[in-house]
Amino acid sequence: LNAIRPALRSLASLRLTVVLFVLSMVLILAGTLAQTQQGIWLVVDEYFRSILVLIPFQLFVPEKIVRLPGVFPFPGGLTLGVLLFANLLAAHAVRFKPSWKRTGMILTHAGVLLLLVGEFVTGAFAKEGNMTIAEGASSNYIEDRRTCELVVVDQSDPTDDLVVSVPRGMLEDPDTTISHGLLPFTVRVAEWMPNSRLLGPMQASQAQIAKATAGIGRQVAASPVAVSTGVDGADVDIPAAYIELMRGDASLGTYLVTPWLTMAQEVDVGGKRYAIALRFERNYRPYTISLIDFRHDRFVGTQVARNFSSQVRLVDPTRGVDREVLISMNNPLRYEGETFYQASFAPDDSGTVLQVVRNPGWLLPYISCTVVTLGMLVHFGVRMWESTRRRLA
Amino acid sequence: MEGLAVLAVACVLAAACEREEVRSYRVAKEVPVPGGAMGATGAASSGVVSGGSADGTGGGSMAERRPEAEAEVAWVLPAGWKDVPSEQPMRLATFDADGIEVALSAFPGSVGGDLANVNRWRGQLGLAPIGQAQLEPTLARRRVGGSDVATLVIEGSDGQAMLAAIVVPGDGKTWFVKSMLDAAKVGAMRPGFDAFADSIQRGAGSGSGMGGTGGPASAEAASSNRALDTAASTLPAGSIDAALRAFVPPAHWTVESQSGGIVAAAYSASNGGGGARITATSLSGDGGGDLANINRWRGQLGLSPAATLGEVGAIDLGIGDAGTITVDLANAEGSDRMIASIVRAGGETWFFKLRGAVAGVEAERGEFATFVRAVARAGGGR
Repeated sequence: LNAIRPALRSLASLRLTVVLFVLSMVLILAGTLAQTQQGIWLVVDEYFRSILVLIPFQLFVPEKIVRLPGVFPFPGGLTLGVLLFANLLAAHAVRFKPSWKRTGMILTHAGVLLLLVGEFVTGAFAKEGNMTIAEGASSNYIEDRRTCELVVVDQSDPTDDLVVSVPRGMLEDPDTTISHGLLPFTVRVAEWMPNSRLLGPMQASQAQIAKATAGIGRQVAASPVAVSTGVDGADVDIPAAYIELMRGDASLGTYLVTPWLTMAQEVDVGGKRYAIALRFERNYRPYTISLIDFRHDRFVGTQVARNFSSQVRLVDPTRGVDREVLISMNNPLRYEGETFYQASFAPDDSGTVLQVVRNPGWLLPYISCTVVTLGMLVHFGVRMWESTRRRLA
Repeated sequence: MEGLAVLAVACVLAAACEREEVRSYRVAKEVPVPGGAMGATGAASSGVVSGGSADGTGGGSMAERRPEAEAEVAWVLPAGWKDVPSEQPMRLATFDADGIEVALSAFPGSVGGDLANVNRWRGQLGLAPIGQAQLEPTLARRRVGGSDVATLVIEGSDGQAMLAAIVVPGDGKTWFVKSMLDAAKVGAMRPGFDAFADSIQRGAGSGSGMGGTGGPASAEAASSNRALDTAASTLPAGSIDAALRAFVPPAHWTVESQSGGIVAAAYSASNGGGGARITATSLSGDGGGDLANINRWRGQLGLSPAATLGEVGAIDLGIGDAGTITVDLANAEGSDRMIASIVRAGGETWFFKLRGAVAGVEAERGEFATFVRAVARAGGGR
C-alpha cells in the first residue's frame, strides 16, 4: 500500500477533482450543442459513454459567423466518470480520516459513487426497444429502432426459421464485403445510407432505379437524407442499403434493403430460397403478448387525449403464465425484468406501441439520491448540533 | 479502495472492447398480421382481426362468410345461426344460435396448451383446475379435413354449462369456440356446435380471390404490396400531388406515361380478372360538385343520372375519413365497372378512379382502397 500511496495521493488531489468537474461541464456543453446536429442517442454514445471524443471546433461557433474546420480530442464521459470515481475513492483512502463527525460526508460521497455506478450499469446493460402489436395480433420480439440488422432467413423448415443476422456495424463501411459460414452468399455493401427516404417509381430517377438489379429496388429507390438530430423532433433514422449478393464470382443481383420495406425479399440461391431484409434489430422473447384491445379515449367533444391503454394477453409457456393485463399511462407491465410502458399507437388506433425497457440499474439512482439526502441531513445535523452546543457552552 | 479504483479502470477497458458479430438463431415462423403492415415503420394496419368484414350477407357457405382479415381460414354457419355484432374484446365473431350466444376467437400459437385453457374456463365457472390425466377423458378429439378439433362440455355447479371447442386448422393459430348456456340445453345445441367447430378449416389461401384482393402473385409483388401499405405512413405530408409522386404502387400496377392535363397519375393493373385502370385527377374548388361528377360517371357507363346523392350508390371502401364519398358503379351489361372516390384537400377536389372489367376491378379493390387512403391522408384529404 505504501508503494502506491504517492500515486493515490496524486489521484486524490482536490485540484484533480476541480479539473474533472470543469472538464465535465465542458463535455456537457459540447454534448448539448452536438444534439443540434446529431441524434440524441448518437451523442450519448459518442460523448457521454466513450473514452475519447473528437469535438468539432465548429460546434462552438455558428458556421455563418466563421468556418472552423477540424476537431480536438477530449476525454469522454466514461473516462471522466471513472476518474471522478477513482478520485473520490482515493480521497477516502488517503485523505479523509474516518470519524463519526464525517458520517454525513461519507454517506453523501457513497451516494455519489453509487450514482456513478448506476450510470455505468445503465450504459453497459440497459436495453430499450419497442413492441408494436396490431389489435388482434401478437408479438414475441422487441425492436431496437436505434440500430438495425441485415437478416438472411432460411424458411425451408416447416416450423422454424433460421435467421442469420448481420449487425449494422458491419454494413456501414463503403464497399465492405461480408462473408460468414452461416451466410449462403457473400454480401457486398455497394451503398449505405444511415437515414433515407423512399422514392416511388414516378419520383425516382432512372439512375436511382438502376442501382438495384433485382427485387423491389427495380421499381423504387432510396435516397440518403440527413440523420435526425436531437432538436428536430424526429427520433428514428431509417437506414437503407444497396447490397450485392455474390455466390462465388457470380452475382445474384444488387438489392435495395431498408426498413421502409416491411416485407422481406426472396433470393434464389442454387434452387433454395432465402428471405433477406434490413430491419430494426429484433430481440426475441420466450413469451408472446397479444393485443386484445387498444383504447384511445378523448375528452368529450375534443381531440385531446384523455387516456391510452392496451388490454393485452401475456402467454409464457416456459413459465406457465397466461394472463390478461391492462397497460396504461403510468401503469406499466413489469415482467421478467422488463417494463412495458404505453408509448404510442398505430394510425387509426389500430394497434399499440409499447416501450420495453430492461435496466438492471434502474433502482440505483433512487437509492443513491436517498443516500445523498440522508448524508446531507446527517452532515448538517451534526454541524447544527455542534454549533448549538458551542453557543450553549 | 485501491482495488475498486483498478476495477473501475478495467470496466472502462471492457466496455471499450465490445465487438459486433454475425449471429444466428431460430424463431418460430411468424404468423402474418392479417392485412396489415404495422411493422418497423409503424405503418397503418388495415383490416386487422377486429376490422374484418363479411363479404356476404349471411351464413351458409364458405365463400359468403370469409372475413377479409382471416382470409386463410373459413367456416360454415349451421342453419339457424346468425352473425351478430359484438364489441367484446378478443372475439373474431359472435353468433346467435337460436338465442344462445357463441363466441369465436383465435390466437397465435398454442396459447398455453389445452390444459391451461380448459382450466381457465373451469375457473370462469367456479370450478377447480384439473390435471392432464383428468383432461383427456373430457375432450372429444378428432381430425376433420386439415383441422384438429377437440370439443368438451364443462358443467358448472349452478346449472350453467360451457360448450367449448379448440380447433387447430394449421394456420399457426389456435381457434376457440365457446358458448355459455343452461346445462339442460347442451344436448340440443351440441350437434350444431360440433358441426360449426368441424367446419373451421384452412382455405385455399389468400390467392383464391375470395374476399381478398387477388393475392400477390410472387414474393416480389408481396414486397411491393407491403410497400404500398407502408406508404400510408411514409408518404410526405403536404399535398396530394406530392404524395402521388412519392407513392409506391404494387408490382402489378404499371405506371402509365403522363399525358398531362388534369391526370396526375395513372396506372394499369394486370390481374386475372381482365385488368383495370387506376387514375388520380384533380380540379380546383369543389370540382363541380359531387352529384354532377357522379352523374357524369354514370353517364359514361350508360346509367341514368341520380336525382340526389342518396341515390348514387355510395359505398364504404374502408378508407375511413380520407374520402368524402365513394361510389361503385357498373353498366347494365355488367362488363364495365367503376369505383371512384372524391377527396377534397388544399382547395382542390381529387378524383380517384378504378375502372375496368367487373372481376378486374374487384381484384384491385383492396389495393385501390389502400392507395386512396395513403395518398389522401398524406395530402391532408378529408
